[in-house]
Amino acid sequence: MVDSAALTQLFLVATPVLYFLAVGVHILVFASDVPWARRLVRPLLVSAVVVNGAYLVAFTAVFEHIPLVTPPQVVGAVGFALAAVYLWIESRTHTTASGPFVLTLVLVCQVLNTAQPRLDHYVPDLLRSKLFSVHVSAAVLGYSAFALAAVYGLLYLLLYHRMRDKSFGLVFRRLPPLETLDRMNYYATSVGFALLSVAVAVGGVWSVVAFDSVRFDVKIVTALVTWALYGLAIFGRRFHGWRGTRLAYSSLVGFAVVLFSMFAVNYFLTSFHLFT
Amino acid sequence: MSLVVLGLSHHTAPVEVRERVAFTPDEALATLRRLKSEQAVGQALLLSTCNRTEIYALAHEPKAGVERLRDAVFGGRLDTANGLIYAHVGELAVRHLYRVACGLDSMVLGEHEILGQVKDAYDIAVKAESLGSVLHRLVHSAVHAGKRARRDTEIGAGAVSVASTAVELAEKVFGKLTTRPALLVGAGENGKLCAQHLLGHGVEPLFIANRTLARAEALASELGGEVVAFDELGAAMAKVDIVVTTTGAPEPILGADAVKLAMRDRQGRELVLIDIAVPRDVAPDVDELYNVFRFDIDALHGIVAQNLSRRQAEVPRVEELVQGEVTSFMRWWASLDAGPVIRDLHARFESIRAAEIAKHGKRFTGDNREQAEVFSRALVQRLLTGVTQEIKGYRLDNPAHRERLAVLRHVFGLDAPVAQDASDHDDT
Repeated sequence: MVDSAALTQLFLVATPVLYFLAVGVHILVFASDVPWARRLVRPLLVSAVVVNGAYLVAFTAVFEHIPLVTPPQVVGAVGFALAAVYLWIESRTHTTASGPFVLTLVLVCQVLNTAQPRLDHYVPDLLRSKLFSVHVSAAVLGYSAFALAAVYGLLYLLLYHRMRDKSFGLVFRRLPPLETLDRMNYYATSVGFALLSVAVAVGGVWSVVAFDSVRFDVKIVTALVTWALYGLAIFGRRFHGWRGTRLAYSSLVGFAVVLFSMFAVNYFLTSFHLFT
Repeated sequence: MSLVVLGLSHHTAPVEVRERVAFTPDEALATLRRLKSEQAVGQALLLSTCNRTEIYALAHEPKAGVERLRDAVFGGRLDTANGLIYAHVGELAVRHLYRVACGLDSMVLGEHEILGQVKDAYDIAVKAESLGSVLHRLVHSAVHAGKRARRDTEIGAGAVSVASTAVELAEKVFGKLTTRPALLVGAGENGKLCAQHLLGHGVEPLFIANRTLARAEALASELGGEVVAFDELGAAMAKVDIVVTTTGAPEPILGADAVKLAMRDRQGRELVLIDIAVPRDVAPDVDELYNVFRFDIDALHGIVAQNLSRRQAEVPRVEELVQGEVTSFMRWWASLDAGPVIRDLHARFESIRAAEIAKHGKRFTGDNREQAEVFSRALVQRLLTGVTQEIKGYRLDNPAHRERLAVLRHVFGLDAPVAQDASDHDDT
């Protein structure tokens, strides 16, 4: 008989290991297009995403709740969503050029999650609401979209400056056109903004239902700042032609605020929000 | 039967010789039909491009085949004894076609056009009915190898001419160039070549400006572009995404101020300036402007040199791929060589058996005759089983195998009329 908790633990540890290997082969393909590495790119990434998904399913089955209670768990879920979306993009576009960048971010998320696991049944009563599930799911997906937008923004800036400097090396050869990177950045930003809007609205309603009022904490304030920043970037793009480097910098600044709200805020709070 | 290839290329002959032996499609068709009707050789394929003219054919006697092809294809067009014509026989000839299809033998390493030219040569040979199973298979697998080489290696990666580099740079900014407007400033040959490349990638519309209006109009009518006045470059730049400059002006014709004004009208949208003129047409201070990408001739040559050296580095990988394909083809071809012998052998024994049964038919009646049929068939099968098993794996590239197959043919008289149904794979 297989011990379910041990299996969950095994998936938890195997996940970052597989992502590490996936990052490695993506870097090899990016740097030198090694044929054997090219053959391993897809199987390793699929294995990593499948094992990651298996961990989430196993955790939910064994501990009777989705692992979205602690900040590392949320970060792990963001990493999973990011990897799944990237796998879909890679399958559609047949290009692995952004893999080293996106998957490194995924790897960091999974290492943070694995380093601080909480494998138990504990869920605060406040978090058992359905509204809260919608709030967290929308926030996780929204943050994943912002992470993707930041990666595309970073790639845009790399290629933009290489081309302006007349430097036609690896970055020039491997990355997709600037127009494509800009478009992907804009799509990801728009999707992330829509999801964050849902997360903020549902979170507000949930707060009123749970506490009879909206309780502001550092986390909520930074989330609102994030929402406003991305909203401004989308508005600028639609009505003032903010594209290219401007959108790329907006995505990076926006994601820096997201990181602050996900990590730095935890120095002040023990959970994602101040509930007491 | 051996494969022979006879030809000349940019490696051995200057252009004034190559142009004399270049075949138009109609000439190639007529030549192949003539070779076929004269039964000069077996199957044949004629590949004629601006850099090479080569005839691939199957010949019973390679040496005689080469001489016959030399006269039949090149005789009358040039002095065939001038030493410019090369010949390869057997596996070397097979390897040569694979190397040609992979772009290893091209003037510009890894160029793509040769694949289409091999396919065109194949189509002409099909029309002339000068192909048989061996050349069909050879051309198909060579084209397949050429595609693999370009897909699995970087032998064809990157632009290797100034015009295609201009396209590559514009594509790196905009992605697909379909319906992107462009402006050509100057009506020189280099600019025209660039414009043709851009048009080939879907650029539309193309505006042309030149100090001499008549030349701009002539080029516009040739390329299908629209003329704009030379003193309205600023307004034109606001409308287009790509500008190619190629004037002979001694001073830059576009400075930062003019481009800045155009960028304001473009609301900051990316603008690619390809300056292939010397002295330069676009002032370097344009580089300071947001979203403006300026590339001069040195930048373009730098990319070409880089891409060529990348292609050069891929040669060992492509040679390895070619070796694998050659081995696989030779193995397939060798299996054909034992096949006809086996078929002929069985046909010969069957004809003897049937003749003997007929000859002694009167001795058998009713059931006896039927039993004699069954028995004699079983006996023939039994007698041939060992030989068939032994020679099934014989290969053409093994001299001992080749010799034994020849002995078998001779000893059992397999070249007599009974063998005629087995020769379809060799001769057309």
